[in-house]
Amino acid sequence: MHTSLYLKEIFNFERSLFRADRLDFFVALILFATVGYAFVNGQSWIDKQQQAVHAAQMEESVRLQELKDKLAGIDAGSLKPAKAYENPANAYWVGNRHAATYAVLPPTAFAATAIGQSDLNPPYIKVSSDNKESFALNEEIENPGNLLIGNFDLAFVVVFLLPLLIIALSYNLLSAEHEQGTLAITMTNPVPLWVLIAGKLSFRVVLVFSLTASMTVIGLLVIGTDLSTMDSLVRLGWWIVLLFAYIQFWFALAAAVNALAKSSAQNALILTGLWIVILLVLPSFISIAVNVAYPVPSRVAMVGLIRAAQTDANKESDATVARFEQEHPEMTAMPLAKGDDTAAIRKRVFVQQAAASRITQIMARYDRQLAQQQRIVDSLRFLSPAIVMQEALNAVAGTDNSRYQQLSLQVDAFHRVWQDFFLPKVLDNTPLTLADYQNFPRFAYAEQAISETGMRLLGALLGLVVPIAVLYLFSLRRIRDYPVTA
Amino acid sequence: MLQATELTKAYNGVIALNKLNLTVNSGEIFCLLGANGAGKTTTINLFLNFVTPTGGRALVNGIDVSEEPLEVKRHIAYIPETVMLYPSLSGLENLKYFTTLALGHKRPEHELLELLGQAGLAKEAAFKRVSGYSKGMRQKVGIAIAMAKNAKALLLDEPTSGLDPQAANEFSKLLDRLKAEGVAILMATHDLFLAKQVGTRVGIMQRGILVSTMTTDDLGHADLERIYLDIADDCMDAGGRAMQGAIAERKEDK
Repeated sequence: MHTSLYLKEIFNFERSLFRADRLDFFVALILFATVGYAFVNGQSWIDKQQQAVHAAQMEESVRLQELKDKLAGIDAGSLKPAKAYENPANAYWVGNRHAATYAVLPPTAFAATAIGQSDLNPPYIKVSSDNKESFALNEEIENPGNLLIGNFDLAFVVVFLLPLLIIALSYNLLSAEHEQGTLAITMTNPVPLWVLIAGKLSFRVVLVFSLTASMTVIGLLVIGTDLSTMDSLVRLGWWIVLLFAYIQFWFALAAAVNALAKSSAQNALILTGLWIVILLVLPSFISIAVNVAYPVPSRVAMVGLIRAAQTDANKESDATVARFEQEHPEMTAMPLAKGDDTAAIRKRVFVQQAAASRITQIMARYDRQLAQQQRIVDSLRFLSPAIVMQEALNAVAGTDNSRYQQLSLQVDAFHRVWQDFFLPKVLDNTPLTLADYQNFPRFAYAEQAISETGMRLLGALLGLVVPIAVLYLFSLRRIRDYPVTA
Repeated sequence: MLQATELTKAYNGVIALNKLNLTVNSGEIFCLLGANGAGKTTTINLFLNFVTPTGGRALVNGIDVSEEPLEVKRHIAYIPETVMLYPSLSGLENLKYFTTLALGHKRPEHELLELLGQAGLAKEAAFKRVSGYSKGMRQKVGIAIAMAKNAKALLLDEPTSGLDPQAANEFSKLLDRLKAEGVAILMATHDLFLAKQVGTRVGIMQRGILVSTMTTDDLGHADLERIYLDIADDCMDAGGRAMQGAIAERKEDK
């Protein structure tokens, strides 16, 4: 009899055993309840964020329409020009405040599967011609209780709960056969022990994987995910591959522990201990190690430095204005009408620009430290397959750090475009027209090429495949000496 | 068919089997007698490759057990002292599984039911969960599993343990039939009367050594009593004074 036929027979027999004890039903029930709740929770989070985005966009739309109506009224002579601050033609106040626009990060089709970093990073950033700190520090304030507990999303079910289910199904994979005495009768037949384990594992892997994968697809369809696009299909493909690898890792771990020939109770204790280490201790250890190696400077201190830079720039404002006037005589030569606050506005812009370079340096220093931390985390994450998996699922969902960094870079670039649109008009005192309003720069997030995400996911996959291979090889070596009888 | 040459097994330096030389031919039933710890089960485990020999060789049908364990397992069947099965499945389902693993193909259900019947299990019981079986019923399924394999050699470790007298008697007849069919049978047992009844030869083991071998034809009632006492002595050495007391009581009764 070929090995494949033995595998098939053992696989089918395991299915009979599960059916007889209705274990397959209970596994399906547990997965249905947890995956279902995770989708409800994940989608409600996305809905909440999208409602906030929609409200912001509506507010911006109404605000711009009011400005345009006001400007049209002034142009038609039905309205008198208001004070500079309220004047819809004033490029400084419009660019800096009234027309400030929202740069929105659209959720991916898989956003509901992993809330990831989206509870710390807002889905939109309000950009104006003011300095970067006016929007870069505007982060979401989430309920600290939620941050502590974490979110019950699909990634949580896969990363945290699925291993528990796998441990429950496989802690006594071989030890139960040994303890109940069936191993002795099985091993009088021409079946290698590794084939017996492989057959038993195969059924469990197929059961857990097929149920989780199919429930995920059903869940995605129920929440209205369009799975017909290439982007969605690629994300789904990665999600399925990662799920399979992660499930394999935990079964491989269970096989390795079973190969140690301990009792079922000892196996359960060892596997539970490993669950705690991999999912709780290692992430915590990595966090502490990174913070010790690269402590992030206090945000409060950074805000203090930024304010000090602004104060310094204010103090030096007269010298700054004088220098600018010397460098740009063509702009300052224009006569100012009575009551015109152009000079004051120009002074604000000069101060703002003088502060900008200092603030950029302060923020860059902070970002460099964060980047160093991230690099260390990227390397140390391979210590725990759970971290690898969590980050990979965040990447598939588009809620990982990398996507928010990408947003930050794109918003930086857009901020410069916005400033380039308004500030020249401020400095040469050009009033805004209705045509200018039509040409205000608009932000559109450019999604990262899937190949870039793919490389990161490939790294994650490797981070799972290597320990799987090591664990299975270890199991194969150890079961050679496995005691068939007590 | 079954051959042990200088077969030795030590556990952590303690000799469990010491240079066993033994041959069981086709159509022969060799009964191994001895007290607990004498080395009977170790001998069987060595033929099954459940344990690795410290020295010597165990051959089945001329094949070294240690070198080609899977090939050897095609030729042997085994019934342990306590047959353990999957409790949530029926006796028939257990038999189907083990038979398929043994033969590499499925046997028709009616043949399996017939085997269970020959082993003494009632047909209606064959479809019930093993969790409700008595030890004797499980033993009968174990016998059916061994028979289904059509093996050339049969290893039995206290096979009648837990069987009622009628089933034990049927089992004796079954062994006679298998012997007639040319199966080589090595049976470890405490049951001297079963050994006398079905055995071709009897070997006495003490502390890992096969101390005596005789044919059952030459075995008279006096010899049987001597074997009892030998075993009892060995038990006493191992702390089995209770057994000797029981034998002494029986002698006084006589």
